[in-house]
Amino acid sequence: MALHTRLEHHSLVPQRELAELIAQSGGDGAVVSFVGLARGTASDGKPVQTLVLEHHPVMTIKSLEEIGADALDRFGVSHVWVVHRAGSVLSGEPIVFAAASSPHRRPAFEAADYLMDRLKTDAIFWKREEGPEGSHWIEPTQADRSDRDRWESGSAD
Amino acid sequence: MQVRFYGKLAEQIAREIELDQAGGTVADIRARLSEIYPNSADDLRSPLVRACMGDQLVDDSFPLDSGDVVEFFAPVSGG
Repeated sequence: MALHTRLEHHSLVPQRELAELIAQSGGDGAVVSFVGLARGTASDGKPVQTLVLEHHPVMTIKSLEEIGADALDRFGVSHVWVVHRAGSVLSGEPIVFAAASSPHRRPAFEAADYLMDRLKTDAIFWKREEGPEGSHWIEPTQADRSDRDRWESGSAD
Repeated sequence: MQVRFYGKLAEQIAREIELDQAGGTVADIRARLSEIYPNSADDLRSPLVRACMGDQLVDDSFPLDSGDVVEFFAPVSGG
């Protein structure tokens, strides 16, 4: 089993990450990937030009590693691959690439789903949306927390 | 003691301050900071704001020395 986690400060190219994961997933029959993009609209409908992701020099990558390791252990997939942006991300640009490979498709689908639910609530980032009408800090929504909690209750397994 | 802030706390207070404090627990530091920065007192006292020492999250009873660097995390946004 292999874990690849990385914080990317300038640009994230999902197709490059996917190509590299496929190249390393020799023998596996399934690769599932998810790409998160910066939205151009805030939850209140106001336009967003830039999403700023502040991070901690040690704890942020540590949180990505813990989430990735949990996915490897929980689903027994062969590879977990998580690359996350930090810094300023323009709307429409990729923020996160989360993927898993495994011999068969089901564990890879579940691991990718789990990775995103955990990342959305437990990854150590502070996000600020900036637009023409100002900026504001954002926190996980109740829906994000419910998505994460379903893995703890076992209802997602 | 050096105190660093992240997220909205860094915007409200500063990224880093020098606090003239002999020592005490994390709870003591929260109380002292709340006096100095009353506009952020609700956040500083909130359990959603976590303290971090030596790259480990610590609870309110954790003891600190005057030379320590303690960090306070505003509620994280997730990825």
